[in-house]
Amino acid sequence: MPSPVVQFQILSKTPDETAKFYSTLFGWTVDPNNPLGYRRVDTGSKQGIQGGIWPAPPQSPNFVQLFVGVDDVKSAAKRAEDLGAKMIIPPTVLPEGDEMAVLLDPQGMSFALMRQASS
Amino acid sequence: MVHQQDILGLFLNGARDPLTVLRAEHQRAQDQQIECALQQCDSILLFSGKHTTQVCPQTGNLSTRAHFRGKQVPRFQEQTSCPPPRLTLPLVQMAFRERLSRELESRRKKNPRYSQRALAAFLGADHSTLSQILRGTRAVPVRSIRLWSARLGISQEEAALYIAAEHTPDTQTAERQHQLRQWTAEAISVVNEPAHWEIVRLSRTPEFRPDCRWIARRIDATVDDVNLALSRLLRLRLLQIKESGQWKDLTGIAKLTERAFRKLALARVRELAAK
Repeated sequence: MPSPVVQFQILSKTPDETAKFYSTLFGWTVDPNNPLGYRRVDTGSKQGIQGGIWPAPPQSPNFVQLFVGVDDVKSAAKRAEDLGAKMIIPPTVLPEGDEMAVLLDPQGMSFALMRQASS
Repeated sequence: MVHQQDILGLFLNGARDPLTVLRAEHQRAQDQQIECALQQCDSILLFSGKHTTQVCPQTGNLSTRAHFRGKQVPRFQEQTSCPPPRLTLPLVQMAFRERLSRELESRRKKNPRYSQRALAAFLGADHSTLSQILRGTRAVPVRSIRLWSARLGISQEEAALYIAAEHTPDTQTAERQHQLRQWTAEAISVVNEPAHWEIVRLSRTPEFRPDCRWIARRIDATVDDVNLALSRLLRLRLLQIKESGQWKDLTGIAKLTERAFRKLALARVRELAAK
């Protein structure tokens, strides 16, 4: 089964400023009105993927995570660990039904697995 | 910064284990030497295209601002949260001891009987010291790099590069330092920011709502603070969001107090840091 990148996530130490910058620059819509208060980004285009902005801890630099769509987050996470990835946030169901896990790949880069509730 | 890391290393190694994770006392002295070198003359200029790119030896941050002696220019902004320094030019990867080894090889090609003692005499160094340096069992003092560079006809700029390379942590050490900073920051956040404890406490109450905006209002915090705390609680396996949407406290402590929560949270940080 293909595993496309379904979402991007910007982790920012100043998420409001990041939201303002990109929405001003590109006309993105940023909507935090959901139970997590997650700043959902709608680029306004059918091309590419949509994303979100999450607060980064103060000791981290700002960075971007890719969310890869999978059918089974737990299995995919286990496969990733078998390949040397490290679990950061175990499979977790989010308030609106999406399921995700965050891992570090063997080279130390974080990425997320996502099963969207709509899929 | 090193001193703080030593203390934090003690924390991460456990109260009963006095071993420091990071540098010994002599390394602090070397850090001071680096500071002096940077203040005096050690601008490392990497020519890339039409502008010069400068590397901060301590942080590896790049800046396109020139930094010449005598000019009022902004200092590098040390970002304690930045990634470990990664100096990537071939010259930089060649430590001064390798430069000395090449010099010795070069002289031996011209005269097969040329000895380490002869090189030591040329440099004005003790031959035993030079031998230890070439074997990698002894660090090269900054003053020796300067002095020997002058004798070998190495430019001041190149000598500055060797000084920085010699005293920049190797990749493994730098990565470990970075990890320690990360984990220490996690621990400090858990201890100092009440949102972590408050979220777990609230999750046990009948009126709890799994809504970060509601939690933020209840504990008088921002939604971002709640989100950061939630991320940490999930990372530390202190909280779980179940498929039903219920938030489950994973502390396993029946009578949960703030003190008990902090103790468990710190223990969890140490466990994960040790991995």
